[in-house]
Amino acid sequence: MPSETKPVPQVSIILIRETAEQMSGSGCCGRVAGDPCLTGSRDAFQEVRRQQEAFGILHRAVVEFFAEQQQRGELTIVTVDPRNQPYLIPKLLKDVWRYRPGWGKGLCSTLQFFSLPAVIVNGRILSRRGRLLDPDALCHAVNEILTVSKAQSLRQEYS
Amino acid sequence: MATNAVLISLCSFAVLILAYFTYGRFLARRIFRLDPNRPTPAHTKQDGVDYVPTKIPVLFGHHFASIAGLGPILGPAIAVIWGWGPAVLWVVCGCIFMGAVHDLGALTVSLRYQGRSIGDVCSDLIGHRARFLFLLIIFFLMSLAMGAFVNAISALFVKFHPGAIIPSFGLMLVAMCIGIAVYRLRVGLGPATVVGLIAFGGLIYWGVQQPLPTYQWFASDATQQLLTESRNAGADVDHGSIAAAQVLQESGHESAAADLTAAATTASRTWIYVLLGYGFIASVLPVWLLLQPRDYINSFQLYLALALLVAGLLVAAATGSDFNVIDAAMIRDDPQMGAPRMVPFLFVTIACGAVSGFHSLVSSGTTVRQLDRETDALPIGFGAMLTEGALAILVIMACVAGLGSQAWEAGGAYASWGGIGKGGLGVQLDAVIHGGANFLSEVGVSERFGQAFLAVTIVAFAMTTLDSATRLLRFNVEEIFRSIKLEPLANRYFASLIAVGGIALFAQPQGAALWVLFGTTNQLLAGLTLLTVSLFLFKLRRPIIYTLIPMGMMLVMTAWAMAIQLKGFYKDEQWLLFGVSVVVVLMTTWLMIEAILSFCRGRGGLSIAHDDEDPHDDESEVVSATHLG
Repeated sequence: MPSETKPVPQVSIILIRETAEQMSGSGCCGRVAGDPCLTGSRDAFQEVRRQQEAFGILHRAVVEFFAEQQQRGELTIVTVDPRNQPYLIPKLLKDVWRYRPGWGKGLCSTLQFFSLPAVIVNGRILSRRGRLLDPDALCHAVNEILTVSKAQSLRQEYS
Repeated sequence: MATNAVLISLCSFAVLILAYFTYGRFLARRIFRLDPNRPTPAHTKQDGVDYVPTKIPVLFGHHFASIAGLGPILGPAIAVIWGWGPAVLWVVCGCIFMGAVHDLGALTVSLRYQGRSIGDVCSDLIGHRARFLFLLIIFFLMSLAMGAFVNAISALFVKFHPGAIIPSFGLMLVAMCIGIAVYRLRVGLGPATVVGLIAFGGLIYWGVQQPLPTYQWFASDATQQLLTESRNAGADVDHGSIAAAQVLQESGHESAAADLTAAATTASRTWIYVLLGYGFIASVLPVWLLLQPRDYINSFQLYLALALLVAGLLVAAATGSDFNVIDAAMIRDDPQMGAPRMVPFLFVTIACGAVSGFHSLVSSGTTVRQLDRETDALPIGFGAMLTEGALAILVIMACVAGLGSQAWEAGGAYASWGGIGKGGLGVQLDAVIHGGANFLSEVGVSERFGQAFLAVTIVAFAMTTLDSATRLLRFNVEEIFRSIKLEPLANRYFASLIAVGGIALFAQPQGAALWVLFGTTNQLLAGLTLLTVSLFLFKLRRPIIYTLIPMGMMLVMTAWAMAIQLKGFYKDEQWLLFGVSVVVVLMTTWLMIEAILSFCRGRGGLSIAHDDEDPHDDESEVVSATHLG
């Protein structure tokens, strides 16, 4: 039986932002803000929440515009909390190794020279000094990568 | 024959792993019938904000960091007084048959309710009274836990680790600098983290070199003079009031030792007020300034401490170190020890680490909205709880093997309940810190540095939790004032003051009794969640014994422990604890009545909220079960 190999995604997006509900103290005793009945209408982490919502727009934009590519496994998008370093460090290393964005950019990504919240596409930091990225800019960057990648694969096919 | 700590740990880990692949899978496939093809709320409601399909490794990290904290450290550290055997057995069995079932159940029920919190679901399935009960339990849980934490930190600072004071408060400054750098100046996360962690290491070094024996500030001039003389003579008087008093006693200055002990009590009380003041200030500060960055550093501390403890234990085994040998007895049931009866108190002392009601809040409120596939609930809900059990096993080993045999001999920390139970909760934390530091010394970390690192880690966890809990209590108080039309009192400062006052009530030195009360209330919340899950399964005509038996056990143990505690509190005239215990007993009785009423209503009555795509009929579930690999 032929073994099915998982295709390498052409685009890997990492959205790095905190989660408001998981901000309320370490350990199970502190993290009770997840239940809205406790915090009432007040949101203790409004700033984080605003970033979360802004990143929601980015997430939805990518999911809507590149639904087909995502389904085909050509694009992956992952939202990570910066405190989840055991996942984030290897993921950044993996992306930089796989997509080779260049020494400088790769080092910046792996050494986390980005401010929060951050958007990393194919091992390259896209966000600037914590400014929220425009969804159009993200989609444009993703589209560019996909177009180049498609052109390359066509060229390879013909040659 | 000496018992090998690594062997016991590895056997426990093996059983936990085996349980994951057998019992966990059985529950996921046959009882909860998780279906990888049924869309999860993360997909059906995907918004990239709360509902985000997330891969298992990412979500596991988020979930584990949310459930693991001070709870699985304090409880096991107290419970080893009954010997290492019962503690390990309860952690392993409790984790597999109760804790993990509870977490997986809460996650699954919340999944079926489109990511609603367990409090909401509870209200739908059992009734509005249950929701009120739920809120009441949470209020007591938070106040009790915070009281216990304040109590423990003050004891650590005064009696055991004055070296942790400078790093703990210095860490706040470091966190604030990171907060300003990352959230306001937009400095890169990596450089800020590296600088922060280096500063943290430097602070620990400073603390080790320059402990702050605050107990000395409250001692008489003559005692201070004696301490200075002892210090100049090379005696170890800077490492906690207990050690200093012992030095004075051994040198024949008994009245000075008594004066120092009294000074330590005053210092502890003063620290309690300082910490409450800290809670007040921290709860009104913007979260980005202190809470967020310190929580970020806490995550590094948690992972580093875990990695070093495991490495230390393994190196101890490989090198045949003394710290690999368990010094404690397997079972200690000596009435002269003065400890309460093992059954039922073991089951309420180790709450987090075996089964914790708080986990239902994390599972249902946040994690459920990020599950990519239903079947991911198994590694996240069941798996993360088993991992927390493994952490509890490490803590047990740190206490029973890492501390050395003197801890179990006359005059040692675990010699009697009088030493561990009434000396404030700092005793247990000190046991973990000492034992853990001995393991760390196996990987080249100096004992003093290791102790300071673990002490600061524990204090940082407790203080972050104190900060956020005071904040949440403040919101509750504000809501209460608004609901009774007292708007002018619903301001942040007055509400914080009341919240701090609530915590202060429980922060008086009550020893392990306070922790047991917290454990009991936590188990009650677990019982309520298990009741909700049982009812959910009952309505679907599925076997309920897997959740009903743990629920019954939780309720019986809670009621039993409370009945004994009540008698003791009444006899000792501890009216505050007596009053809270009465409330807990009433809540337990109420919960039992609700449970009986819910089942009496049968499968009709309150229906399970589901939409058309998720009919939960038997046929679709049989089909679903076949999808599980």
